[in-house]
Amino acid sequence: MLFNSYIFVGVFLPLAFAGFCLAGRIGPRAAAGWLLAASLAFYGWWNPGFLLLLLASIAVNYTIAGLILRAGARPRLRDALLTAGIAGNLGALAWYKYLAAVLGFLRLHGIADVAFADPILPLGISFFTFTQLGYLLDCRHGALRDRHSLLHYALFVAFFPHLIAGPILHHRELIPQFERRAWRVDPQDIAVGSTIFLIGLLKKTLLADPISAPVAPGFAHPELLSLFPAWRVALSYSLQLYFDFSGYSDMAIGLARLFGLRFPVNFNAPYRSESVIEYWQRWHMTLTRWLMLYLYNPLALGITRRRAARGLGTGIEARRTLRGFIEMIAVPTVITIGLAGVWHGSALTFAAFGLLHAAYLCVNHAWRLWRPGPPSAARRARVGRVLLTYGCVLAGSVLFRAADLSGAMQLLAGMLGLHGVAVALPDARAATWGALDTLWLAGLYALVWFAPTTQQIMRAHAPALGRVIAGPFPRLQWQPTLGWAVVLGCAAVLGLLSIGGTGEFLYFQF
Amino acid sequence: MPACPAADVPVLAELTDIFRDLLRDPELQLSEQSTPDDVPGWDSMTHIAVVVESECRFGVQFRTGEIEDLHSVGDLVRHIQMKQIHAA
Repeated sequence: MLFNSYIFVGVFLPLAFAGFCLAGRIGPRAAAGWLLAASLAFYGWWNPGFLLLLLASIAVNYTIAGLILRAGARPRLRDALLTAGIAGNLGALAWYKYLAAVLGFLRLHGIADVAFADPILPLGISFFTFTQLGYLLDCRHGALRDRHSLLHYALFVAFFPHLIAGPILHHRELIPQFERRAWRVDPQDIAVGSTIFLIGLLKKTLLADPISAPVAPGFAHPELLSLFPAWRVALSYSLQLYFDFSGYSDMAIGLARLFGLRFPVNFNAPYRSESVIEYWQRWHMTLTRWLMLYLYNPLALGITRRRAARGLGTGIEARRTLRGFIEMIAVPTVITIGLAGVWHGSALTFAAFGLLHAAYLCVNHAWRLWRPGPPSAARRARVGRVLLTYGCVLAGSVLFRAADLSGAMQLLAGMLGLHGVAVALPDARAATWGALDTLWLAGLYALVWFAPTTQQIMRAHAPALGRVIAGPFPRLQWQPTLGWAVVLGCAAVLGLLSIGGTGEFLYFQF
Repeated sequence: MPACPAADVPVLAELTDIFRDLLRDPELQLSEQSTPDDVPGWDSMTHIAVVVESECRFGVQFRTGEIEDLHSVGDLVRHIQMKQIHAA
């Protein structure tokens, strides 16, 4: 069930909310139980068979978490349980997401020929697997002392606003909200939540989907794209991905807020980043956080401690040596960001995307270490850094979207003018690149680079967990006033009318 | 291995020294309220280096799970002080 569908907006959400209001009168367990039931119905609507997979995943992980905590001071037993938990989770993920691709690769190169039909990918499996792996790791490493109740754990994993495409939540930020809430409906939550949801819906229906028109035909025939069409396709996809994920993230935050719950920010104007390091702190922030917490930090900490124990130094001067740079920066970065790429899917393009970004990050860190002085604060220099970062990200997004590596190379070659210069796309549906298209692209880039974010517009009402820094146009702040009600009412009509022609969120495929 | 000074050096002052060294900014001023948002260059790499340098200079050890709790200089100060008290 898509957030941007009539069945969700017109039937599921009103029913879920009405039931929540009634259950909240009975008590907090009833409200949490209702939300869990609604979330399972939401998931099962798409494919009831996979509901069993989700329930099994929750049951197995909850059991293992309990066993790890009960193992107390027996580290070997806890390690064995954790290893079994990780193997089970990653095994399920590999079965559905990677095995067919790996066997296909082996077959293609004559290494092994094992028949295996590519299974249907259960929606959200990457998200609910990582959410639960984090829980197990926290149980093992002492960040969690007591297991939460099964009801709260299951709701933490399955709560429908984040189940399919994130944000990837940490138990510390959500389960305490279940435990302390009276679960009463708050009119301010309804107003703030529905406003954020609506802004997200408009980003999806009015910005992301319309700009995507040249993307599919362009990526289907990248070898035919000359200079301008290639740029149009790449820029359009970059904007589609931006507004699609931004819109989805807003909708998830808004939906949670309707029920009085706050999610972390998952998307913070990433194309305004002045470096690729900053980009990863702004794009899919909860995935970056997960990778940092459970992969990068342990890796980097182990390496840095080993160096310190061997007297090799860990400070800035040590990192400025080739060996120090490789050990302390390049190795953990390549492993972490390489896996971040593969997390998105089994295609080689995702691995290449991860390795490309790992290379960017290494160069970025090297520049920070060896640059002659602090970065200039001059506006021109900052604009230059934003454009350079965006150019790098744009090249990466071509890999992210292309059907295969050859297609990505073809499109990048087109962008470099290696296929000649022309203004027509190969597919008639995409039409030509006219003045209106240029104006539309310019308008979207103005929003990307200069408009306040949803969090900044809603800043006065604590829209999400964490601090929101004031943005441009500080007067553009949502308030529960008649003027905003009229504007948002009109926007709601527009958003609802435009739902019919919209597509699936891009992140649903992961 | 870098020399480890005595652990009774005021924690905030020593942490400031660590950050100045790691970020190559001898003028850097920190308070307990300072966070990665306020300190240019305090990224994930620096964060790990700060933790390891702190382990060395203060004679403490952080668990992997604790690193996620270190959101500000104040968090670092409190964790280090708590560990020093437990070690005493």
